[in-house]
Amino acid sequence: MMVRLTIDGRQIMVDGHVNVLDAASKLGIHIPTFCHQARLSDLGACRMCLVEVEGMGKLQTACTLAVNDGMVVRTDTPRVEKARRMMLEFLLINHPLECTVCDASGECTLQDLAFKHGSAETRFKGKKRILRDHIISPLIDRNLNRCIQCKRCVRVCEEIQGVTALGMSYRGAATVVGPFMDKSLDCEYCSHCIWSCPVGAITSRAMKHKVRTWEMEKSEAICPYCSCGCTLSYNYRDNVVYRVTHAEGRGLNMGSLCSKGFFGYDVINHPDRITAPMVRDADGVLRRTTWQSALEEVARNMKRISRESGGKAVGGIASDRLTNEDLYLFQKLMRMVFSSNNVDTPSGLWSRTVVPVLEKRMGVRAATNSLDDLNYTDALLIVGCDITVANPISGLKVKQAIRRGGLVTEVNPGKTALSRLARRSLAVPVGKELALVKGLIKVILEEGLYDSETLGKYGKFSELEFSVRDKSLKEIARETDCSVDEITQTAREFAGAKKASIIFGETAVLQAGGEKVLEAVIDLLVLTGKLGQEGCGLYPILSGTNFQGALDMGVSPNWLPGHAAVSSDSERKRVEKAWNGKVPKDGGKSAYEMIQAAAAGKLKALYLAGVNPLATFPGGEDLEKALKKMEFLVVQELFLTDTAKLADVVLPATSLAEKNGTLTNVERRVQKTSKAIDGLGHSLPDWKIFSDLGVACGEEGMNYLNSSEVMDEIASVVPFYSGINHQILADNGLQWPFSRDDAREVYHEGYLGTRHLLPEGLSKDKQFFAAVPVWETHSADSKYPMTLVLGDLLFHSGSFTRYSESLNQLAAQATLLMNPQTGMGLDVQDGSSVRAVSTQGEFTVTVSYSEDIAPGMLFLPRHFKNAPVSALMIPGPDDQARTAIVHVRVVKA
Amino acid sequence: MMKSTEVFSAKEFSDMENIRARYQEPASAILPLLHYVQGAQGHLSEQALTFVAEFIGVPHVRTFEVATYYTMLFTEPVGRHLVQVCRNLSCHVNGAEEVLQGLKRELGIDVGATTPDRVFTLVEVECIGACDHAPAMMIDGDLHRSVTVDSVSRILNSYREKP
Repeated sequence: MMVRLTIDGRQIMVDGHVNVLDAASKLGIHIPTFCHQARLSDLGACRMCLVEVEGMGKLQTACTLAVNDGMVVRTDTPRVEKARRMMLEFLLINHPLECTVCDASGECTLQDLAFKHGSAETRFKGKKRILRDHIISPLIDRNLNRCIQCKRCVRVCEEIQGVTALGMSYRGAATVVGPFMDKSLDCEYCSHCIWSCPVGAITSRAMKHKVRTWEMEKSEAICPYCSCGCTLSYNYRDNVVYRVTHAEGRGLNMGSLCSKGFFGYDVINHPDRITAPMVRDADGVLRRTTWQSALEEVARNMKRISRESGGKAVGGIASDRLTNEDLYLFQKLMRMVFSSNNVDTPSGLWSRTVVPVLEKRMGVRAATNSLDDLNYTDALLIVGCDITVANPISGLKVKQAIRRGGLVTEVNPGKTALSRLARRSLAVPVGKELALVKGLIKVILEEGLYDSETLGKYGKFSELEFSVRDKSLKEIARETDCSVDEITQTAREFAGAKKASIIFGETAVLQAGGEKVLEAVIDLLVLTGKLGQEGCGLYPILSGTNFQGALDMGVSPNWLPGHAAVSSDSERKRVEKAWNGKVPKDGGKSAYEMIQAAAAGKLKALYLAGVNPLATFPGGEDLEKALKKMEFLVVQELFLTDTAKLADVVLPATSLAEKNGTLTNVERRVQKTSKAIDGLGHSLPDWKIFSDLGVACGEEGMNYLNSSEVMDEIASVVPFYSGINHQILADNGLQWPFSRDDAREVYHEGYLGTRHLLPEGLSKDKQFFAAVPVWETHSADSKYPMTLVLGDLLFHSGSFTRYSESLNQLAAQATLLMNPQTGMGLDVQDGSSVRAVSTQGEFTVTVSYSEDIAPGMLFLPRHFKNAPVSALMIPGPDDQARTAIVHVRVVKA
Repeated sequence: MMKSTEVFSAKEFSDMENIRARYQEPASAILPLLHYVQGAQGHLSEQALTFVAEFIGVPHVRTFEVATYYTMLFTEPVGRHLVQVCRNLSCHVNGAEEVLQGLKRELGIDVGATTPDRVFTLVEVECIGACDHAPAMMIDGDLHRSVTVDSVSRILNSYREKP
């Protein structure tokens, strides 16, 4: 219902649910406030927004006063002004006037309002309240004396982050904001409390006393650390990024960030950055040189090897952290200039296990829906994914759904940060996810909970029924460590919900036979009719920042840009025409196959852009041997990683903060990221290096002026990017498919591209039900009985964030996590050393007991040097490589 | 999740279950539970606050907020008997200050402190609802009305041997 009210003599029609503060801001009338913040519940704690309302005796807090038809409000009377001045005078009784050394100075609401409304003199002559002022964490400072008790940090921690690490303790004048028992903060370090503090009571230690807020310029960019694609703001001065701030209300994250996005910027101006090209000299030492000589060295060797041994003898692996422009030019360089389809990213394995199933079953090659849908989901099933780690901000959207009453069920080999909040957290052993999903299908079939339209549209269920016939729910429950009731309730909730979606991730899919889980998940969606509409869909989530973009750009041995098959003559011709060059005919090798070929001496030259195989690829010592065997190894990097130390040529690339380009996130949203600072030293953006190298090879078709020009070419080659260019992305990212015809839509407010795929449901030529006949994907063998999950921690992203001193303060070492029950069974104590042994290799690591890990499972973070996971991961071609789930034996060291 | 046996006896735990069962929303039992634990254990230890929070499904900091808000709940151990002297208006004008001085002298401690033998803890409180017999004080659950400096010693003595 709309209501009409008058504020300061001006009339406005607003929605009846808004408060006076928001109504006034629509008129451009700014009512000062401390405790109000968009997205938080309103409290009326600070009394700064007092206004006069006709017919109401006392002054009212505008933030908690709902609008009423005919209401007459005044915000500019002497009485209101006096009240504001008094409130400020009260706050300044105790607030220390130490703006000279306060990091919030320049962006402090109290400072600004005191300047505007306050008095230069105080009538209070007493001593200021001085409370103990201690650090509450390595990265977050709390200064209680500056606190004005607006409770924004407490609310944001509970209402947005769902952690509730902060509370208001003690009472009256002694009230303080702090963690449980006044201890150190034990939280997700999401930085929301720093963001929400209107004064300098909660600040970042990472930038303490380093720079004044007003000296920095700000520039919006996309976060480099996961596939969520959050918008953040780099704050910089003199070509140094001093901090990241939250871009209020911007991006799909509405400004929210996680620990990595907020604190992980210190890799940018890290003193160890490589700032000049290096070439190995006759003595075998890497020496600094000029771009020209480095590029000539690369051009000469790559071309020579390609010419002498054929394109199959050269290969390239690029990081999925690179931009679309970088990745597109990378594969163009490899294909057209070095005549090789050996191009891949570390996430290529995912593309080859997940995407073909999506393609076969649904005709899509990405998530069907938008991340925003997660906010409003009624029932969500999360299979094999800790969403709060893989995509922390998508995780926040799930938390919002839970706050709205959404029923969330997790199926994971352990507990996550969601478990405490979610309706149900099922600790299903790895390998049994399939049985659980089939159990859900069984309940839905037996109870007739399927979508009646589905029956008409997709025909009979007999095959599906047959596939779930040979096990009773009781048996399924026993195998999955769940109760019959849990399975039944989950199925009923999912089928009965209006908006229901499924998220699935690496733990479920990157295991032997994992694609069967995906098949069953799609069966479940089709059966319940949860596809092709807002709130109903499928989210395959991999954490790699631009994994979707890498696939779209054709950084793949079998796919050209635009998911076009290399094997298709017509597609190849189309790309060749656009490039005015040749594309080799035979499919290439995947990243892991390239390493194998290197070991066998068949691959002689390798170009690595932003990848550090020694840290993240399977193979351990075998891998190192293979890399050392290369005739010519180029590493394009920010740091002299272990892999770069083996290179013949090292090329200095820039971080995302130093270049323009686009990234495609997990929901197909193409977003523009902008350069904040110039490349450090002589470092260059990756696309520029590929372009210059192409030109050095004598290929004029590789000559580009800027990344925008590269995107224009991408738009001409990738059909579903055809309407995209850098200008059109200036304000908002756009979800593909986005054609030139769609371009006029961007002028409509809120238009974000294709929000949902499959609006017509599945096409008739698709296989509606896979009816997976088996019940488990794999089981451990008796020599290696433990299932080890190699996964991510909330505070790190690959091996890259090892270079972040801040994030290292939150986690710098790996420990092998196991349930105490498992530990006792193995006779291994908490804190003791063990050897973890797989068929590939072994290393020694310290054990940590954790109740969060399901009994029988092990978890090891894959970020750290002290636990070189490469030694345990099993190399091989795609169908044999084991990188997320490895079977191991644990022996006392 | 913490185990109850780490903090509570079987009897205490069963009492707590009964308290929790009285409420439709377990979280509503926060105050009665903390009150019970305060009575049973003399104070609310970190473990007790952690356990109660998990027992009723609220964040840990929530029990800490409540425990530090109420003057009858203590996060540090207090003496066997808690002496609460009212200092509000009626008591004040009727000699609460003298009574307090008498208590301090008799116990040899300051306000907020506990006697070395851990028998008494002395605190000031605002109105305890006995203005008609000011000055008043409470020791544990007992109300003492119209207290005088002279009666202080006798009253305290009657508690010294009490458990």
